[in-house]
Amino acid sequence: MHLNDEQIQRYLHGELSARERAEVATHLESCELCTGRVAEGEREEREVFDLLERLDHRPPHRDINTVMPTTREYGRPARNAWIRRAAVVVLIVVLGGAAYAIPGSPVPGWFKKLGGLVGGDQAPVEEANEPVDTVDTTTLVPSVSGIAIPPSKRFAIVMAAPQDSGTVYLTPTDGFNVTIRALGGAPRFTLTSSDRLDVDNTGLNSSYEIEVPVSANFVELVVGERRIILKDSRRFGEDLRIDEKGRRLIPLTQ
Amino acid sequence: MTRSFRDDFVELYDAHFTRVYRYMDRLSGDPDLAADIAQETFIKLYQRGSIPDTPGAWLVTVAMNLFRNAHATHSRRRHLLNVVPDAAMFSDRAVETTPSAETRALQERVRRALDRVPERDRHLLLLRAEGYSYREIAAALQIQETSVGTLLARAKRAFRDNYEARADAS
Ligand SMILES: [Zn+2]
Repeated sequence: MHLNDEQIQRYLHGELSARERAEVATHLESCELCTGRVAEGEREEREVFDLLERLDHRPPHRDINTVMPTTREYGRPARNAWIRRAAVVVLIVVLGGAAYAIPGSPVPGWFKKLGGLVGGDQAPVEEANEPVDTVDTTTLVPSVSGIAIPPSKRFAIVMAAPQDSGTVYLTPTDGFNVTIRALGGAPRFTLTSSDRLDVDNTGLNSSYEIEVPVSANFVELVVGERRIILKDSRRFGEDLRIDEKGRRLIPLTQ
Repeated sequence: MTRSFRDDFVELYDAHFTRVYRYMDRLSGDPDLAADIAQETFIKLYQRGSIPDTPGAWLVTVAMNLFRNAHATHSRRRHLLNVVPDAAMFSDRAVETTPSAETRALQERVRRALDRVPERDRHLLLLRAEGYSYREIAAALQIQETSVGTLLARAKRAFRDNYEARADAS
């Protein structure tokens, strides 16, 4: 009996057991027809796979830190200029939004002061055309006790370490910004990329109010090694305890 | 010495990321979608916190599900990508040489030939092209492992027939 497709394919792909392989080899020694079919199968596969290669685009830059978050590294790399520009736009909004995040804060004075940090009276639109590489993101946002940011598609709030006490009070908002207010203490907020806000809470035990837009795609909170999904495409603050005010509670202790 | 989840994860990422990306890129014709899916797939593996028994099949299954979910929303975009050469769409791709009309016509012909292969056979073909084992393919596509070779032979034939038919038509 001649070889069937299954045997020929398995022979080509090294998917036969040692015994099966020996049987096939023995048959091929005495059968010209099957030898021809094996050769044809090999040629056909090469042709098909060569054609499939024509569809390939250049693979993306591979960076394991985009999939394995730590408190040091998080967020996807800016893959193209569009995203890099968006990062700058986000920074501008942060500076404008920081003041608004604090209830009863002296908004106009603040905004002026903050505006000075990104180049005086320059219009934000012009600023947005600057390549982000020239902007030192770590020094742009001063230590304030609140901040508001329009979240990227996949956004993370990263707290450096668990605290001895303190709670995050999470509420949904119809607005477009993720808003964080520290209730007491003065943690340092740093927008390290369009995907990541760092909260340096070292030595502090503040509680925080966090508002997340219901329209946000994905927002998570990273506390040390712990990750809490605040909002994804389907759910808001799932599995979190809710207090009498309807706020979801996330303890910041270990 | 015990290996940590992190060690295993890093190893899997290095071995499989590009395979998952290429599989999705060929399937969708949309490199950005493919990159997002590949990334999301590994995020899910990390969130899982342990390595599955058949990691290759697990990654492919997750990527396939993400693709199915994303497909509807991206179908329009892919249509646009088929019409507009990539180089015009994204600045970092602009550095790639713009393909000639001949190259694009060939790509289009391969694309159509592949799209006309029945869905399961298409996955089979693309997974084998990435070197996945029969066991992994069978697990990911939920087919009998003993018939992977037969189905594969059929898939390659179907693709070739579609490709040749296009040649006759043009
Ligand atoms: Zn024979």
